[in-house]
Amino acid sequence: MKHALSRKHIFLIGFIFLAFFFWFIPHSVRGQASLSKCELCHSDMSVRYEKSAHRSVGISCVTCHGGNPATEDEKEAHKGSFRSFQKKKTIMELCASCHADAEKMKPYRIPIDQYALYLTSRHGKALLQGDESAAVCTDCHMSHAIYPVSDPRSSVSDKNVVKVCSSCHGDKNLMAKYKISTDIPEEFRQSVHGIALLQKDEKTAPDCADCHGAHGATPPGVGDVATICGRCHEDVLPYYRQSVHAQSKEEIVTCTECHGSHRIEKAAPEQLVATCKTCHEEGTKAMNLIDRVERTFRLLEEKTKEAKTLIAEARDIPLDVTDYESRIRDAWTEMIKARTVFHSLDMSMYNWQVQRTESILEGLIEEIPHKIGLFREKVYFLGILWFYILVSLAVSRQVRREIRRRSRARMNQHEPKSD
Amino acid sequence: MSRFDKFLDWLEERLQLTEIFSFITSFGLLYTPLDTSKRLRASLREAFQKEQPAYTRWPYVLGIVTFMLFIFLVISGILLTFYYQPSPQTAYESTRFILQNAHLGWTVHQVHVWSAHLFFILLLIRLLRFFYHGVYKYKGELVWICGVLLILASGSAIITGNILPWDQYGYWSTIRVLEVLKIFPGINVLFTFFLGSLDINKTTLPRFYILHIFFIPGLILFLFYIHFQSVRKIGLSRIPGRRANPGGSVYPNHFIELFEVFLVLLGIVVTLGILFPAKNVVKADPFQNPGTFHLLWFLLPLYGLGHTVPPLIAGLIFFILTLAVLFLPFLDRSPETAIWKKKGILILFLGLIVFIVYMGYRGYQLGG
Repeated sequence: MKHALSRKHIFLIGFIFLAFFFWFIPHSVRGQASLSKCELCHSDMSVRYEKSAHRSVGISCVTCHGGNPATEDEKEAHKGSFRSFQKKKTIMELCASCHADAEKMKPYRIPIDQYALYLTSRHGKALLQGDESAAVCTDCHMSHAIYPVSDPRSSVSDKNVVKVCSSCHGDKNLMAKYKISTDIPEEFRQSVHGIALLQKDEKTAPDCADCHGAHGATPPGVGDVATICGRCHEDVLPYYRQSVHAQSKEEIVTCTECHGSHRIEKAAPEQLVATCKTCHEEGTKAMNLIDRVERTFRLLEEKTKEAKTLIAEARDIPLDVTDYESRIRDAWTEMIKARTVFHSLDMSMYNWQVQRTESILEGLIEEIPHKIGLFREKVYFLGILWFYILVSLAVSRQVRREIRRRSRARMNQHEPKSD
Repeated sequence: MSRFDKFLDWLEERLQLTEIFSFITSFGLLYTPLDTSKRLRASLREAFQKEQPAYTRWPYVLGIVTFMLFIFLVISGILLTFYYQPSPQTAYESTRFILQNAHLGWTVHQVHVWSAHLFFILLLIRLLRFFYHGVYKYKGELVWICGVLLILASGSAIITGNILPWDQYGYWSTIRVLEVLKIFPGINVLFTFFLGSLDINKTTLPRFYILHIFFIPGLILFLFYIHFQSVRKIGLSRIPGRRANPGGSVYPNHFIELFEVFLVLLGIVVTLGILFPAKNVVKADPFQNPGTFHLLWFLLPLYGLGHTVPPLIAGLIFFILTLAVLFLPFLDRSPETAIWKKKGILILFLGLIVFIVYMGYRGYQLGG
């Protein structure tokens, strides 16, 4: 009998082991090229800096901090050109020294107006007045873990902006000085915008910076509100501009007056009357009009619901509902258009839009039950089928009886002959 | 001499028509063997004048009914393949198209589904009939084995057909079917061969499709052929103590009766389809388990037993039972064909049926 482990086996195992070994070594050693001697002490910062945007384009510690990166001696290292950033203003100046320089920023295609914008912002103005708690570049962008805005790891990416802003604007002690409400971040989180951005992951939803500006952060003035909202809600804006609310010489009513500023809720017909009541009194012409509008809203909603249940029923059968589905989408679009047109407070335009929606929905509500009914008639078809089957059976029974009678007659004819 | 007769003669000189016809009828149309040495018309006349076969009496009708259901399945199945596209991206949409837009597509689909289930049920009842009348005794062994294999084949046809619409029910019930079947010893090898794994992946649908429309129907056809050839050789089984049916000649009496059975069967299948239609509502979503449906009904006993004893033992029990039923002719070799005279084996068989039905009920109770 042969030995269990022959020479061939041992050679094979050895070969596999060596192959693995030679594969493993370069993998374990790779990526150990060191930044500088700085990380011997500042390991936490160097870890945060390791994968940041600045590191990836080859900017080292010394570029910003100065000093001597070659020595291991603490005092030697922090001598000479070393900068410590005791004052926030120096941070601003350091960042601007590159980011406001058109020549330097050219390859990266980064705008260079951030510094100029920053100086116009509340943050920038306060800093120039010597307010050390005003936000500077590193307060939002972080000092070491800096990533491009499109990177989800970035502190200023779509979803993280809210967190960064609320780190100061949600801080009661800090905001007391400026008399700014600290409820704003929470209000935003509960608004349609906040829910869309943070819970539904909708990339088009606005964050703080989309309305207030990022570097030129400042609250919009009364005259600018409509323009700012209209940047996204561009279909509403022209209708609003035609309205009495916008053209009034005494008191302009802006978007935020009705919809709220941070805690913006979904536009629902239930809130319509209550919202208008805050300014208009009961029994006035405006309130009568609003009552009528609310009724049409409710009517359209009910009809949409009815049409949707009918479509679901038809789909269950199953009938082809692609046409109905596209038509109910049309109706939805028309209804949204009606709501949009409503901002002009021009009732003839609004009524026309409502009629369009209603006619689509009514068409569906009339048509679908008819088609469902046609399908249900399959059961009557069963009756016809069984009637046909029973008649056929009766006929074939007669035929069989006839055949048997004839064959018996033939046998009777044959019998005397065979005798 | 009519033109058709002339054409027939012309063909007869160039082809063995009787042989061809005999082969075609070997799959189950005409019980009587044809005399292939004669010309087609002569041999047909001879066959038609013979006495009616015994299966025109009720207990024997099961065989011809299953054959008719198979014809329904083949015709409706071929019609469905004209529109069906077997890939996860298109399967659901094409099935919806069949149900919604294709002319009579809905009815053809329902006839296909209900014929399949009736086919399985009638095969089961037919096997019980075989047992009761001792068909599996001497010379009937092949008929019995074909009967058992037909049940297995039609079961796998239902399993493979179930996922084809690619709707939520089909998708998730197939996952459960695969989980239940896993407890059969050795089935892993089979599934890994056919699917590449024990899970549903992108190759599952096309592979199940090709099994469903090609291999399994081929197997069923082959089993029909063997069964029919064997019956032609050994003669129809006769109920002990009773005469064959003196109902007259094969033609036209037998053909009229076949027509009647066909009509009633079609009526039943269409009625079931219209009153209890198989639905196809939501497209399969691998990330969302709807959770409210039952396993394929004929796997419920396996599920029930798998939850009563350790799954491995349950699989083993059903494996041995299947083998025992398959090879029953070689286990019970006594020549006595009247089963009711042999108390032991009768009680054993009845006990087995009660056990399977109870396990099915238990499986249903346990949410199978």
